[in-house]
Amino acid sequence: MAADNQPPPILRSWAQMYALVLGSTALLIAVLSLLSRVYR
Amino acid sequence: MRPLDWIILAATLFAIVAYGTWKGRSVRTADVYLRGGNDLPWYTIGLSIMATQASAITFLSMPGQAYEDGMGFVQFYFGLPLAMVILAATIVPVYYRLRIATAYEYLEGRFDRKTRQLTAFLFLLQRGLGAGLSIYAPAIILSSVLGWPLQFTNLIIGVLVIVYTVSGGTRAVSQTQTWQMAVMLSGMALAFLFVLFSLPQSVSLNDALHIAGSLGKMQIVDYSARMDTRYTFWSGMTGGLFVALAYFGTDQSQVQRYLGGSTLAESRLGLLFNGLLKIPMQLGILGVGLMVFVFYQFNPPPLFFHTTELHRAEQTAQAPALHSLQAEHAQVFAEKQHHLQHFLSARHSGDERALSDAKQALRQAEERSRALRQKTKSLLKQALPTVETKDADYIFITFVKSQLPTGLVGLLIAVIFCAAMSATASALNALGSTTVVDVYKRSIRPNERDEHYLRMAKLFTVVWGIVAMGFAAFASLLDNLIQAVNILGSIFYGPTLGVFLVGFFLKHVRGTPVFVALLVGQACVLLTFALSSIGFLWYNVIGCMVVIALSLFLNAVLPLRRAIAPA
Repeated sequence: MAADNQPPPILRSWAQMYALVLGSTALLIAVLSLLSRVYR
Repeated sequence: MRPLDWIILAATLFAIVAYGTWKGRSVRTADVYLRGGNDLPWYTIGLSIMATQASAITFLSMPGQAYEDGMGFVQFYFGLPLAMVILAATIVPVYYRLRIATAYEYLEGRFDRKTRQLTAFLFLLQRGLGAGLSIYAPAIILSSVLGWPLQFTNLIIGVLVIVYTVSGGTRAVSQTQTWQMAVMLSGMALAFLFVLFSLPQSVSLNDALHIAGSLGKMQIVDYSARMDTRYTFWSGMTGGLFVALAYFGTDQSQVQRYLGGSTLAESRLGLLFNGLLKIPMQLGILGVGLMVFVFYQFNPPPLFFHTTELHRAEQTAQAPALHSLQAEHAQVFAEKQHHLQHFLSARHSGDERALSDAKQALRQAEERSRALRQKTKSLLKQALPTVETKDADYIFITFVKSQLPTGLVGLLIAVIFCAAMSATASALNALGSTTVVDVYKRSIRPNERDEHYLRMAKLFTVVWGIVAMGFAAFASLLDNLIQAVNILGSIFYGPTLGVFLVGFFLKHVRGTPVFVALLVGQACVLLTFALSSIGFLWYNVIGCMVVIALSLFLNAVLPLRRAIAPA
């Protein structure tokens, strides 16, 4: 069961994977907020 | 459509149906039919999840939404990545441990049979209607634009989907969805490039975005806290989060996608893949609509995008008034060209004052243009009282048909068919599975052999396909199509999510309190929908919160039913 639930090889834990998804989303929203200010 | 377009369209559809049928040829047991044989890798799961959510309505309505209201709709998806993380960390491992075939099976083990069957019933109701809409919405638009009879288009989409869904179940649906996603993404990418290269040579992508921004289309993130505005950062992060939790965590059409994973890790990664790519994908689709908007700043747009109805209205007594509006429309367009040239030269020369003046003039011209479109819609209503005057869903398809080169038109029509088929296939697959697992096997014929359940799962899938086609045949156009589907989902999702959250996180709450809370919560959402103007994303929050709070309250006040020992 443990072997069935390994995170991707480049990451040490699922927590890192979750942080990657949430961090990318936060960055994307920040970029979109910036674009809203630039193009108006 | 030219012969090359027909060839591309027919070849794409045939290849997908043949591939799905071939992939499903080895399905011999009910478990493989329902759960896909548990051999899917994470990227197939991820693409399948994305294809299930991306219906034809996504590709028809979203570009039109960007054209009319700008990029703000993307905020609807802001809560989705967080929902994917929550589901991957908490709910998916439980589903795996219990080895369930439908999400509602979990509720019987946790609460009782009546709660399982009520949630399954609510799912069948809303997904059955949703499947009808996912056939009807593209069918009515394609029929009108391509001149095909509506029932013929309904029949094509419905029958093609039934063929491979029935033959191969979950495995066929998920495998075909990877190729459908490839067709959809490549078609939209080519459309984006085409429209970008169709802009005047002096207009760069940066200029195009400045033009769109000056006309109010680049308000991507709105941090205002207004409850009556449908799409804001806050509604996306709360309502959007609840929708995504409910949709991906409790809607069998999505749960079935990731339960087909070969391991828990593959299923988790499939969900997280969706969390990473969903917002960029939606931005891309909205971006196509934004570029179409900029394209029509330099090329005369139709006064009304549902051109078939416009031509019909020109045969009535309102024709002179319509022609006069068209003349005025042409004049405003010519003036706009003048202002656009000023805007671009001021931008390139860095003259801030001239730029501000040009922007102002451009906005005024756009206002006049909008007012003319509004007047046209009123005239259309007078000429043809039953006409649908919302033409946003026709913007992209009209652009495709009138502006794209031969070959690309066929590919884009194939994109819309693929999207309709992928969403409908998941829905029929889930409807058939839920009917056989949660209703037929549980309450009608519990002790039959495996082949019997396999046969019944296929039969129920066909029946739901016919029901969906029947609903599609009689549905009428609702507001904006994508919103109609989202509103329908939001009415049912909140209370169901509340039940699942209570099940997962409030271990002391019993079945009857949750069952009563679900009925009351559903009634509250229906009343909110009927009597208030609150944005529909909030229905999810309201329904979910009412169920959680009422479950806790009833659990505290209702007496425990004690077993009476025999005398």
